[in-house]
Amino acid sequence: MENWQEIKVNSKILGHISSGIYRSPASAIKEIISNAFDADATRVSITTNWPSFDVITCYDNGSGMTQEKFKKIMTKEIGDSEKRITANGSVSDVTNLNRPIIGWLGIGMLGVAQICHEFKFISYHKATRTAFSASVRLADFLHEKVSNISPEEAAEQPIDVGQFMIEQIEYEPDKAGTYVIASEMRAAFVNKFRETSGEDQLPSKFSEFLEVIHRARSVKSLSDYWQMVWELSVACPIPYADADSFDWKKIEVISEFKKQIIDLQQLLNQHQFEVIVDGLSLRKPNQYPLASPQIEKKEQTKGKLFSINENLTVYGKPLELFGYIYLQYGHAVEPMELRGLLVRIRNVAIGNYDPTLFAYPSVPTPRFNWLSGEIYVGTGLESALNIDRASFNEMSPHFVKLTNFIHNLLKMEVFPEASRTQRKRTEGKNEDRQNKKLATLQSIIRQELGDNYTLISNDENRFPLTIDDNQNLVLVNNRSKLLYGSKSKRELVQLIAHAFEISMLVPEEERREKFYQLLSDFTKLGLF
Amino acid sequence: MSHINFKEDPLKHYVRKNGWLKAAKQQKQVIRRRSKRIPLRYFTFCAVEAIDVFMLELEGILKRSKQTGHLEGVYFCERDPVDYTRISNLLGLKAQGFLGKFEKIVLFEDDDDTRGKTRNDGNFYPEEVDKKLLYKDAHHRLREAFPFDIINLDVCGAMFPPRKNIMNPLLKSIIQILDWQTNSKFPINNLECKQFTLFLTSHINSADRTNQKAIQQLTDLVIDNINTNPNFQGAFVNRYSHNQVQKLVSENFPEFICLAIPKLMIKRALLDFGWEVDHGETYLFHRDDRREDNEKYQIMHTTSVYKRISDSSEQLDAFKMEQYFQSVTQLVNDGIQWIDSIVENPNIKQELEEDLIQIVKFRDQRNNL
Repeated sequence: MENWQEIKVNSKILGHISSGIYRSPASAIKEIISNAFDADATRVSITTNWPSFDVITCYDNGSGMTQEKFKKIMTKEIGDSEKRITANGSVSDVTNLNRPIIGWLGIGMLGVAQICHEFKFISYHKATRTAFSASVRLADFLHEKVSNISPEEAAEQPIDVGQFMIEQIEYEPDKAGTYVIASEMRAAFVNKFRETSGEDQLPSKFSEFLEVIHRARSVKSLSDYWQMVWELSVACPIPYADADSFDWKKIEVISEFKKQIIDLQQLLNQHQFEVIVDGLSLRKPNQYPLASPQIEKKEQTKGKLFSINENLTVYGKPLELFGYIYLQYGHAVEPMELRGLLVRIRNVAIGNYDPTLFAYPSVPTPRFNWLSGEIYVGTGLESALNIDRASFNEMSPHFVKLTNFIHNLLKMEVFPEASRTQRKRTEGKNEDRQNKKLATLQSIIRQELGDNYTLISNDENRFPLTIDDNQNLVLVNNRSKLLYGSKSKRELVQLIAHAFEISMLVPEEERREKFYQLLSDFTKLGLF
Repeated sequence: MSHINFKEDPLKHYVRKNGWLKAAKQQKQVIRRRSKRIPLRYFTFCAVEAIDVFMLELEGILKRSKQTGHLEGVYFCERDPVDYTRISNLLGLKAQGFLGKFEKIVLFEDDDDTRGKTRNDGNFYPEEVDKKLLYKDAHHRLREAFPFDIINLDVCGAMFPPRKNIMNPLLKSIIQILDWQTNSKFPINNLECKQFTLFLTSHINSADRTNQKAIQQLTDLVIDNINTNPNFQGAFVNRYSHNQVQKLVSENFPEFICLAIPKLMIKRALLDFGWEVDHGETYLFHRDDRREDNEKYQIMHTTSVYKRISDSSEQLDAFKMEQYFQSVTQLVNDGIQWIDSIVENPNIKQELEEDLIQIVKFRDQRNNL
């Protein structure tokens, strides 16, 4: 048994600890999952002891870690990435299973430490057949502590932010992998989850989880627990909910790009990486087209896919982008948390979908809600990533380049298409309405005047409606100069005028009755 | 954490199949008229393989929710964090876990730090206090989970360790559990538990590694019973061909413990809490002691059915004493089965091993392993 040792971090990490590394428990767990992915785990299982939330466990069946490596991370390497040294001595950024390395060492542990007093990190390392158990705790009042450290002081030497204690334990092959077990959860976390969780237990199938989300239309209306599961499903390098998350029959797309998207989705399947939360195997929740259930009932929602496939350079360094922007024709994407753009670096989501479209320089309009996009960044953006791994340094040249590229795509292709669609839809709707109105009028006129009269549009006529008994014509002028104001007001007056003109055809004593009856008929027919 | 591989241990599985499963089926019959919204409630120390839980599911005794597909009504306690994690993963969302020392959770008592405080009272307490409040929270959660239909106290340890008081934390916890069973109501129908089944496991060390005061008191109790009740004396003599309790202690200490512990339980349950105990099979077998070469210890498994006695019984105390002697006599009459040799029978062993394989396969399929 060893004594407690200090956890050391450098100035870069310190600044972020002082501002609170993580926005949510999901962000911390996401980092632990990323480390498991890097350890070539095929399965990560998380349990919360719902609805008590007093013990959070995370187990991965990956290669595990040695005691020495753990000690080194906690005293020197927090925030580094797990680069591999290959047999020939070169540095590799893929794992033994050829996965891209995605995690930052120790960051997840600091995140977990923020939601509990103390947690256990236990690892059974397959290669060396050794095992250890470590207790880890961040310093009490850490925020106050690190806030009082000057930047100069922090730059000179690493600062201790907590303690860890290692105990060597017997290796057991059955247990191979890594366990992170937080049993001393902070009251604030537990209470927040308990207050909102109620009886909303997770189903055992992801499709059922998505059904609930779609019914709710927004994840925010559900409990913190469900939000956590949602965030993990969006963030982790796991396969999509369906083998294919696009219903291609309803989506316009260039066939070559469609193939690329399908290939990308298959690549995620090839990683054979499963994340399970309380028995629920997670998937990426994207399914398109998908509008609100009310809309889906009325009409078939359709959309268009715009490709992102660019190899850019920034100061001579590459910025590889691949992905898509999905435009849903005329209807908001549901749930609302899928609206906007999401950046994935090496398959891991950075933050959530950004509904501002990277601060697109225009007032957000409903068409912003019609968009959902994923941008997979191969290389070039890691330097722009903040330590919380949920946001970017917006001044970073790489991020600026990405933003400019996306804004240009939105401006030149996506939004013009959205406008065209909107125009078409509006024109189509107006035409439908006009046709309906004329058909209704025709039927009323037939009823009142008999089948001999024909209804025609005539813009030269002074009045909105004139009945020509000589030629058995009914002349309708939608643009009569006697009609003023907005379109809707003109239409209203026009209908009243129609009712007036038709009622003039009946004997005087019945005229008033006829006038009101026609107004009533127009209302019933939905013309007003 | 046990060194036994329960996935491959026919001795333990003999107990599961012949003792626990049989008793669980009977208990399931008892609750068949209860609201379907209250599934059979099972508390277990299921250990990392959770064989008992999946055996009961495979046999249709534990059910999964039709709405969510999760196993319902299962509560477990585990002190080892890694094993806790693995059990949680196997049992899924609705199984309520308690990580920590069972006795510490059950016997939590407020002190000056925690009195009048909870973790959700809106205040933030220093870490020391908050850690105590964690146990308080677990204690209340466990208390609220009662009553159970089956309690499986498959604890890993001896009932009377030498250096502890006779009334040690484990024994106190068991008594506390009886109290909670007595004074709790089922959720939804708000009815008392009328009958439950208790599986009790205890390691039996040699007499010299057992609390001497406890041995003395238990001996005195058995002697007193022999002197007081002819039926009990008859049963004792019939089984051991003598009525010398001391002789039993020195010659067959495991069987002495197998009589003494259930007798103690029967007495406390009956006299303190009003439960009539119908004692089922008692199984005994040997295990190698890893700490001492060539040493063995024994494991005792008992199953008993507890039935609530109506308070309206006339002459309750006399009635209870009569019940007590009936129960303890039955305990001696039914005897104690040493199962080592039974399980050595190749056919039985093979049957048990095949059954275990089937349960493990079922469990792993359930978990897509």
